[in-house]
Amino acid sequence: MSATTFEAGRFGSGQQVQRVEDPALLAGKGQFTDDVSPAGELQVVFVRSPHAHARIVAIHSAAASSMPGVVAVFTGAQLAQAGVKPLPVVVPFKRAGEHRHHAGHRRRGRAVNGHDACMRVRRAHEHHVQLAGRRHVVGELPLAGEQRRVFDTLHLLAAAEAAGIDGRNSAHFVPSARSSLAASCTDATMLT
Amino acid sequence: MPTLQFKINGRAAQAPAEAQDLLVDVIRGPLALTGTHVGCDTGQCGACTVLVDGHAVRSCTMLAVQAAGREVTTVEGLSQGGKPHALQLAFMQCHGLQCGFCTPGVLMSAAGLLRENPAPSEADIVDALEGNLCRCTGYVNIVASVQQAAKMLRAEGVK
Repeated sequence: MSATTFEAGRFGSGQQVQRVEDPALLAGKGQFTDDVSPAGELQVVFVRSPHAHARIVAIHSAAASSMPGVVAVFTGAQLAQAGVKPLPVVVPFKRAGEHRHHAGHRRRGRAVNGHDACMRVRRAHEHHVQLAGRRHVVGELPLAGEQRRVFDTLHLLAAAEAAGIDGRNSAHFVPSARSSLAASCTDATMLT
Repeated sequence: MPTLQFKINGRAAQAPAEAQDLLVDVIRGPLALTGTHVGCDTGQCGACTVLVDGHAVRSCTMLAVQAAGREVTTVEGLSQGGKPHALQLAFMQCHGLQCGFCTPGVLMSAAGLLRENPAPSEADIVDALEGNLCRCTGYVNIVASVQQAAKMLRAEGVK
């Protein structure tokens, strides 16, 4: 038996291997995470502060909660109250409330400037942490063979406002708004 | 909610669609055709590419209502009569995919190209696939796959 014949009979080396996953992937039948929609699935959007190191003075979620299809809006304070711990990290971050003492300290030392800075943060934040907006489909899926409901999700109105757009209708769909949304709440836009 | 009527993969379809809904969201949502992927959501990666009246378009930058009355083909509609499309066979043979996420968009861009140009040069293929990003296979095998498919289609005499 020649060496050539022996080589040709070996598995793998120098030969094409038919991949078992190719037919499904090429037919659009792959199952990536975003392709899986269990019945009754809800969508979640995380809205984060668009300002680094800002102190959250208030979160106005009533308008968002009252929108059709919105199941729940949870704020960090509610989660903390319910005993939900932050994700464990190697280097601990200050939580929002921990800035309070520091700000007060500055105010005592430099009353006018400290106060101004505090008010600027407050104004900036009150402007931005407004939960509102909605995202479409509530209804049946005619070709899915099962009835499902896709619940409305939230969008960050403030980011859309920053881009000069009415976020309740179009923030999700306008490229200029997208970049703004992405800058302020990347996870939220990626989820939808 | 207004109802959108169009043709998808050869059959009539209707789906609820508001004015601001994107074509890809209707395809993946109400129509549950999840082969069309959303990679970047900003028209940069090409994973959402579908054919609209035979032309490759990014369904994440097209409003669903713009597809009204038109014929949309997604990756699910590429094979005809249970027989794999030449592109699907060629990608398998030439190792034109690894994870397969970008593949549906690549296939549809290539299908749009081959429809207009049955004998594309390497440069034509590179140009047509410019808007499709692949992060694992690399483009050499993808271009080879499209060349192979073009050859197969010409041999079959299929336009």
